[in-house]
Amino acid sequence: MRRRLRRGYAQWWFAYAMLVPVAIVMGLLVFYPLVRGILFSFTDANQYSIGNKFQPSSYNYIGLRNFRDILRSDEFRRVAGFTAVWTIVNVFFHFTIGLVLALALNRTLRFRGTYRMLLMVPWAVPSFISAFAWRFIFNNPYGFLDQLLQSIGWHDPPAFLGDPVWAKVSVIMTNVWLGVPFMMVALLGGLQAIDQDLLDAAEADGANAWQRFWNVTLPGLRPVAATVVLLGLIWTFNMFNVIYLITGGGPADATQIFATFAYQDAFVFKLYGQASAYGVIILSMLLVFGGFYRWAIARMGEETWA
Amino acid sequence: MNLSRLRRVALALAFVSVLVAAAATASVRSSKAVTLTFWQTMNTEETATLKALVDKFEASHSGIKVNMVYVPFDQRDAKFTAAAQAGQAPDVMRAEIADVASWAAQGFLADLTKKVSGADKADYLPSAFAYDNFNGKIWGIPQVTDAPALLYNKKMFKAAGLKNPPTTMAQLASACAKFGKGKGLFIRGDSYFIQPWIWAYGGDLLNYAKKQILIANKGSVAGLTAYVKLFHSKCAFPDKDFSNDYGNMQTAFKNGQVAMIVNGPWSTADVLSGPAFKSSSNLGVAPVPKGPAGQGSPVGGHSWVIGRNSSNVDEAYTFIQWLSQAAQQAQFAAKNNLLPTRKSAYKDPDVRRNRIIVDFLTQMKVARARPVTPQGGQIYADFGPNMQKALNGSSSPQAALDATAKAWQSKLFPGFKIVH
Repeated sequence: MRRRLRRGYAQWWFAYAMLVPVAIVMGLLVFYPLVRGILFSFTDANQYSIGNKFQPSSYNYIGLRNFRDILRSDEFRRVAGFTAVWTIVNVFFHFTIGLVLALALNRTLRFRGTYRMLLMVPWAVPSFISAFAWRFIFNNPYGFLDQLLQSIGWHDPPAFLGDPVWAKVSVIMTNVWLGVPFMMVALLGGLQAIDQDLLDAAEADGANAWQRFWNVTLPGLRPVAATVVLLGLIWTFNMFNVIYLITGGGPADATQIFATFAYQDAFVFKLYGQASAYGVIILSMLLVFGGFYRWAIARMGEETWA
Repeated sequence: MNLSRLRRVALALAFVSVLVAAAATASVRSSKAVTLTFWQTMNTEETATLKALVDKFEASHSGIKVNMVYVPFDQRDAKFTAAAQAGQAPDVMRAEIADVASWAAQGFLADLTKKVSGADKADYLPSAFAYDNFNGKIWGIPQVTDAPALLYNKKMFKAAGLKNPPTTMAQLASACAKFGKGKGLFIRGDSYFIQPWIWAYGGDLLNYAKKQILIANKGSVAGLTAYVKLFHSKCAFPDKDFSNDYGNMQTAFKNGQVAMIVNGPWSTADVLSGPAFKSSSNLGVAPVPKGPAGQGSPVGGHSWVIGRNSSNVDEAYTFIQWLSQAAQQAQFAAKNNLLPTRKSAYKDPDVRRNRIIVDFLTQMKVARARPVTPQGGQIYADFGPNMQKALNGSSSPQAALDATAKAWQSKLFPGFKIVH
């Protein structure tokens, strides 16, 4: 055993040496903050007790009290509810619209390159710029949408950002618009990887267009689709920019998701202990997504994708 | 011969050593010249005034250089806190008044108690200077003061048959009703701007000394109830977008689409650039109306503070004390309509001739201090969303303020009592 280790070292020292910088950087930028964050989640640290150069830290370890307080609060339930709606509705529309566009662009049609380029625009623009643009579009009464509706005779258009329900619709619409291009490109890649012979064979066997789509195209897309849907779930779950920049979580906290709510706890109220507990809760939820994904992929017999 | 040569060498040596000594003292003196790092958060027009003043200061204080750095106002807390945590805070910082107590409580600021002279203490406006005093010590000196007032469009008032601005809350409602649908008054879904109503109806935010939370008391609820009623009245501009309503309010007022708004002196330069105010005399400024149980508008402003890690506290204080002198404050008053924080500055002819400042002074006389607490800036974060719930009808004013009080108690003021 020892000899084997020594031989392994002699054989691979160069590889280990190459890994060291990465390991150090990962340690400093990922693992150290992660461990600190987890430790803070068991404390009552805030801006006065966290300590700095001029005064020593004075926070206490309070066990699981932060978690208990959070899980028991009405706010948590409300935010969890909208986070779930936000994530599922967004990813659903990202996927369905992205798939329809990918199918359309997978065929030979005139100006296909132009369409592809135009459809990529929302993705190419930095998301905070898009968010600001949409914030102006949704403005009542000076925004584009309000003016447009008034000019066609709707004199009292809905309050896109002022009404709790409409504000939810507005931020979801914006994020759907932002997220479709990525899904479209990823699914287009998946479609092009499907063997044309399979589709031709199905056609020769008398399968109609719907049957070919359902029995050949969709199963062929599964590995790509599973990956991008999981990525989409994680990104959307944590999509901070759109909500923070368009509504700031308002009106009356109606559009808070976990990411924006934890930010408020940390950087407005500076309750670092409680905000860290939120961070740990968010992380655990994402770990559950990830675990479920690995399980699902393994069950499909596609270990290579996991 | 030999001797004289020796003497000459000695003489030359002496001469050289004198030169070296002179150079050495010169270099000692120049190493005494101090460079102050100065973070400031003013808008573009104010920065131009400030830059000219800094140049003037450097010209008259040969030992002190000032390295001025612009920090966006909304990032100041994050940036200053991060720098101060690491012991890298600037020598001089422009703080929003609520920052002073917060940063002092975190140990980031130099104690100026012994530096502020008796004459200065007597000259600063008490309402502005109050924010620099925390825990019995002085942590800053006031740069500018303000309070929102009722701004109105005189031409629209005349056309509606109104001679004078309303002086009571009842008159405000009836004056608003004289205008067409949505044209009377713009009031916002922002908790800073509802404070005059809280005070007008006998409510309050906090009593820090007695450890009491007063935001859910009878008067506060009456204030919010009146505000909600006014907000939904036909003559109020339909405020359908809380996240953009500051800009919308300014646009509507500048275009002459609404007759009255509530805003501070900082906004007047923008208002006067609007088409409805081509003639600047069309802008009326009056105190926020009196209510059945009081009157008030929140005092705001900025202060100069010194980082605790600064190794040049003396020079930094010399600089901020000079900036806050009456002559310098008068420059900001003349060029930027900013209200001085010294009684003596109001004797300056330029200040006395500035109509907007004079009008806002009547508002300052009935302005109220916000609570001077480390959490003074954070109280609005929970107050705002709850107040919006009352405005959109998803909760009653009482329930909204109860929720605010509970949030303050759990997040900001543990151990305080909620007084109804």
